[in-house]
Amino acid sequence: MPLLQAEGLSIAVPTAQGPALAVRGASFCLEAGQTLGLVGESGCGKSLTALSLMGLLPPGARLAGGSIRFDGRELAGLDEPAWEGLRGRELAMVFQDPAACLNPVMRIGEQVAEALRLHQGLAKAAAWDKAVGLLGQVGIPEPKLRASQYPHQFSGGMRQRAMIAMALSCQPRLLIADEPTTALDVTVQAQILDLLKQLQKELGLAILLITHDLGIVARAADRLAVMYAGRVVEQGRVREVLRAPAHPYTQALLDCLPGLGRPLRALQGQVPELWDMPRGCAFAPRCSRAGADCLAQDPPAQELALGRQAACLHLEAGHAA
Amino acid sequence: MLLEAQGLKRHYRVPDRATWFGQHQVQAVDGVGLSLDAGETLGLVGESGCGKSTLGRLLLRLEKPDEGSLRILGKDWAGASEAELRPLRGQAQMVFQDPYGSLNPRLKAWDAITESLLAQGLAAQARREAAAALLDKVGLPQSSLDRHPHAFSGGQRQRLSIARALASHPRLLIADEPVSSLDLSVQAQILLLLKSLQQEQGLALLFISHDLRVLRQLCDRVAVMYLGRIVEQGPASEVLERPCHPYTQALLAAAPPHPLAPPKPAGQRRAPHPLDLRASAGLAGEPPSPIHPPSGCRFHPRCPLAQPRCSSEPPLLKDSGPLRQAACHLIGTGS
Repeated sequence: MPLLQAEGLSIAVPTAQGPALAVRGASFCLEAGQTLGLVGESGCGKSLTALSLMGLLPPGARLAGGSIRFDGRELAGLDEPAWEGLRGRELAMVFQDPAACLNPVMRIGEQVAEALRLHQGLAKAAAWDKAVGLLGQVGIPEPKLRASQYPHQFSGGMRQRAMIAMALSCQPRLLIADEPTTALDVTVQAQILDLLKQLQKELGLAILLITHDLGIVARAADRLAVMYAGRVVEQGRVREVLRAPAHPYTQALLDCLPGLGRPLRALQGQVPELWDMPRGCAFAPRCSRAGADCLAQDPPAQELALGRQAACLHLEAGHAA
Repeated sequence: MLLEAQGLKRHYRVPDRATWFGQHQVQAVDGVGLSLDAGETLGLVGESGCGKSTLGRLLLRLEKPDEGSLRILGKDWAGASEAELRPLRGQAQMVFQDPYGSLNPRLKAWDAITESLLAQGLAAQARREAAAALLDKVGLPQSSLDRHPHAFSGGQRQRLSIARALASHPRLLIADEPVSSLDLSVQAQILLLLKSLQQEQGLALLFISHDLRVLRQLCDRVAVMYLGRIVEQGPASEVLERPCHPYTQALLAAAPPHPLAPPKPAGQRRAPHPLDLRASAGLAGEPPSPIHPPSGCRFHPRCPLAQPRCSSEPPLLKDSGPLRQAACHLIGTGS
């Protein structure tokens, strides 16, 4: 049984035009020790999905339906004390902007130790020693010295390492990383991705990696779920999805990627507004394969092979329904 | 050459927080030479803090260089005063990274993109007509004329920024990370637009980016910057396929792979460059601060091939192949 299984996840958010669904029936699963890349353009609902898995939906947004099973336990509908018991201990998260997530007037070591004292009941000195050890484990040189420094004395990459140390301090089983390297330079980005991979191997972590960069997914993930307008339109093993995409949106994303020395093919049009979702397939207005049937009916996800799904009535060539 | 810069330097003073009264010098741009021809696209790449944006601003004379010469369209502008710079302003234009911060939220689209034409004394009606033609050029509907920036998406705003830059019929366009805040599908639209406008108008385009994939797609030549200096430049396909400088190699090794890049069949694989680091592990450490740049070659503390002379003697940019230059002591020594 997968460690995490989300079924038909729907999230309602307030908009100027009244409440609307930003995530509309997303389903995916993640095994222990694996990395699932969740990919999509801004506004597709990938960050909301991640926050809902942590019970951290922003004010106004709420889970409108679906189930989240974590290790056989239902998380949808948990109350706040129950979430507090899970967060940090079982589930942890790393955010895009480490500068905004660290307390600027607290020593790095104290911030890492705080989680240990709260969740594991360690005494102050023991928590500090363990924090120093964790900082060393995530590749911060001279962890003893660094632990007593403040966030402004850390570079962007070092801050992200400290965030990872904090997230992993209580040995969670699922780590959610929301664009963990987007704010970093490529050389540092590669170091952080390598670190996550190494820690995953050591600790058997499941990682949900949220990103907009297909290159990062290709490097760091085992499985890939592509989101568009609040739905998972395709998922499967990274290599299979990228080599032979079944959904026209995945294909269009790949056609937009620069750098192969072939002419770019831009995807025309824009993502529909939340309050103005087409009745049928949300991608149909921009899709080159769309027919009249696409406008009438939102296609359900169909199983193409074991663990491979796509939600489209007119799959790319080579994929029989 | 439409643009030719030599020995450009820009150092900033910043307060030294340790003493409260001292000052540090940030060597943002430290002796950079560049040239750019009409119809050519030059990519400028480097990590954050390497001085690429400062260089872009120097080339447009938005900042005054401390030293060096800057010839654009046959005239040296390096020491020109604001008043003397007026003719240059129409000839050289810029597109900025943040499409939200770079448009005045109070101006309607037509007003915003043709503001520069006020300087030419155009009446409102003529400016509106010019705006209509510009919107057409950048692929926005005519109904956009009377809308305010908040009604546009990020990609549409970047189209407006491009329209504004083109309003004065410039010969030189500098685009500073114009697509890095945009989604993939929108990014492709803007790249295609820039390329087609450039070909149509014979613009010289300097494209500043940290994304090697974008540069490979768009640029004829690339220049790689590290801590205020250019360490390698040459034709894009050459530099990005067979980098000479250890830093360029490390940068390429660190970039995420193209998800569709086919593994090269063994027979067609080119012989690896003698200095090629790409097989080795990525680059350790982070770019040092430009406040106290390392002595000698600025890359030497991170360079796996560094030798004793690298820490004392700064390498000069010298020819490393046809049309290519690199600044590294190890090139040409046969080691």
